[in-house]
Amino acid sequence: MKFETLKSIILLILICFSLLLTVGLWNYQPITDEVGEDSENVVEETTIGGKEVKMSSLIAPSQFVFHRNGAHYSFEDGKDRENTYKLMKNWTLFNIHTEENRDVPEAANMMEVIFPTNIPAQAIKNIFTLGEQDFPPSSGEFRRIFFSINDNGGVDVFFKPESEDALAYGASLRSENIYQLEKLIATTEGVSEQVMFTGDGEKRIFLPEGETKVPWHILDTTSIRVAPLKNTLFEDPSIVKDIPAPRVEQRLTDSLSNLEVIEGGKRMVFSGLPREPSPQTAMSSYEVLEKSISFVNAHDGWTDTFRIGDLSTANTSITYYMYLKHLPVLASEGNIHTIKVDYQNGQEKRYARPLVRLEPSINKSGAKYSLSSGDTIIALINESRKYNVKLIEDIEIGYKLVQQSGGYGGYSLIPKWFVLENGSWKEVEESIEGEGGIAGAMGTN
Amino acid sequence: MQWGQIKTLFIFSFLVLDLFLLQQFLDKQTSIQTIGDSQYETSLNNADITISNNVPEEAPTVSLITASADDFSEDQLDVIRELEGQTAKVYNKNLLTSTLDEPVAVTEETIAGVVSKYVPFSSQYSFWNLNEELGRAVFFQKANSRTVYYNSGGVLIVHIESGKMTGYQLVHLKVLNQSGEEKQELINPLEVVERLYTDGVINEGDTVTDMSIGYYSAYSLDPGRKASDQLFAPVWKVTINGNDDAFYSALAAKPIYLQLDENEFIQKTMNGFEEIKSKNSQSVITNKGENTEE
Repeated sequence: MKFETLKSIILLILICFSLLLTVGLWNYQPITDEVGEDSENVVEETTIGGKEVKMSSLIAPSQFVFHRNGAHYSFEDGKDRENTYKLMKNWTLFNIHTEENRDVPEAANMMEVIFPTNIPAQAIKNIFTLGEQDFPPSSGEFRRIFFSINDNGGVDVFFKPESEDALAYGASLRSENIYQLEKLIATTEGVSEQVMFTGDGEKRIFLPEGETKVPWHILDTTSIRVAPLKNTLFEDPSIVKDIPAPRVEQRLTDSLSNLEVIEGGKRMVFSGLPREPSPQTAMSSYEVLEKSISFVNAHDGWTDTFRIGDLSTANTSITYYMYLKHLPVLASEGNIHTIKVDYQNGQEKRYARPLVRLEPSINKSGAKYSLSSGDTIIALINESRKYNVKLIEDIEIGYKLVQQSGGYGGYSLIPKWFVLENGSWKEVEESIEGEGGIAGAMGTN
Repeated sequence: MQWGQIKTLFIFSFLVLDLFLLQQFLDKQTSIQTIGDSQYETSLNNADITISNNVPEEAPTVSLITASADDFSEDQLDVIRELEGQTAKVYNKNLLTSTLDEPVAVTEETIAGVVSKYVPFSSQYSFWNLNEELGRAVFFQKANSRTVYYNSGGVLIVHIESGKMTGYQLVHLKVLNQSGEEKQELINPLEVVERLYTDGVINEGDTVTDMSIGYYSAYSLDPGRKASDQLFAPVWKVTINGNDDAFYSALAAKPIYLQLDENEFIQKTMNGFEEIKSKNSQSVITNKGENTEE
């Protein structure tokens, strides 16, 4: 009897063992690869402490112009421009359609919104709310948006592209938003009259008629560490070597990619071969926009306020400009005011960015610089041989970052007139009349 | 009584079953490591791609190397001063350019022999190609017994006019260190072939005749920029149908197809040499006694 019990137990054990092995065979998964990857990635730092942003916050107009019975008005303070854009982003558009007539609308009362570069029409959905039945356009671009009040009391919206080849779009503004637009066009507070510079006849550049007073600031900088950038930009940071090179502060390379720290440690340029080969596909400007945003987001690279400044489909490169105190920074010593991403075959080929971030203003005095009137600037440009009126794309007030002497990393933020000629911003050199630098600026306070 | 016999029978049959399952389980565990390769093998077989027996089965372990453009040592300069049958000049202490007194007929087969007769230190270089279009033959320098491909800092360029070697230009790299002892994980030959097939570099019906590891640096500096070092990573050189070469980065972290253009490389290197010559025309060391240095 005892022997029979033992046999039963052995049989039971064998049955259980066979079941276990069967289950084991079915579920067996190799674990070799995953172990290696996990242990490597845990501790590496891949963020440089900036923000992750959405497309809508990177696209912003450079100017709002209100046309009232032949006269043009624009905001004096950049803050009003920003607030108006925030308001505009809540508006709803419907009846989006392609527009054959590409002329500037002739309505007596209208609002013109000017962007710093051509914005892909696909981005309309990122700026406005669209009606339920409306599909966002799949191609085309715009540089200006016109909101004109038509005879029926409705509002026609027209997205005007810069180039002749690009598709133009029209739309209508939801009636609930019309009163806000009417209020804006009629506003007399905080706006100043503008002169229109037509250049060789085709241009629409608006400059304030009178002098403009813009505050200047002193800003401190903190530096951005290279190590997290190395971790995120190189596939395998462990093989990256620090190899010195002439005229470069620091050079990191894995033999196929290269990260160079330049401008006295204030800027870096990463260039690399594409990660994977891909067919020679041309990217649309919207793809460049989308890809560059997620590329910079991946390491929280928006360390200050940056906005789209130049987007070219031709050589597929995109440049974001730093914005400080509601104005774009259009020049800087050490070239710290732009983030630029170049694409090749749909992949990041070159990435240049500042390695410093600017800290809030030190001076609270509210001292202002007085900048020449629009008429003076137009006269200066027409007379000077330095400018080719045909090539001028824009004239704007922006900031220049000038390094403070003493070498503690401080910068003065100085307002200036700038001219966009042939794709690059040039400072307008005015002969200063009784307004010598900071002392003069203090005096105008 | 009968139940007892059935139990014995069951015990035996389960014992056999368990042994079988155990064997299966262990088999699976060992085979999983090689499954990656055999996958490539079957898909390449399907595409009718033949892989020659010369192709190694596994990737060797190779470390990255650092190297820089190097000056000729005094001993080497002495060798250059003794050269005969040619007018040799050394610019910037690192570029040797020479014109033969009598041009020598060469073909693709005989060039290596001719070069070893006229060019000093030619044993450090391995023949790459005779480019008839540009009238240049290219030799790449070797480092750690592997070839450094397409680097303007370590190359021998032979000038050929109507089938005759008229002269040559030579620069060399010095390997500084092995970049630590860490050997890198490289991708296996079969995976490279599979990737090249996906990229459309290798087509159906092709034969992969040879594969070997060399070095490459995408950021090759001008030959004149002596001050800076370069990092070289291992690359696979894949020979297709015996005459076409494709390059593939061998680093497991960044396996990519490298499109390298020979004509562009020769032009760029020649321009670099011209620049060195024009900048250093005041200090030239020659074998003809007219030493203009000092």
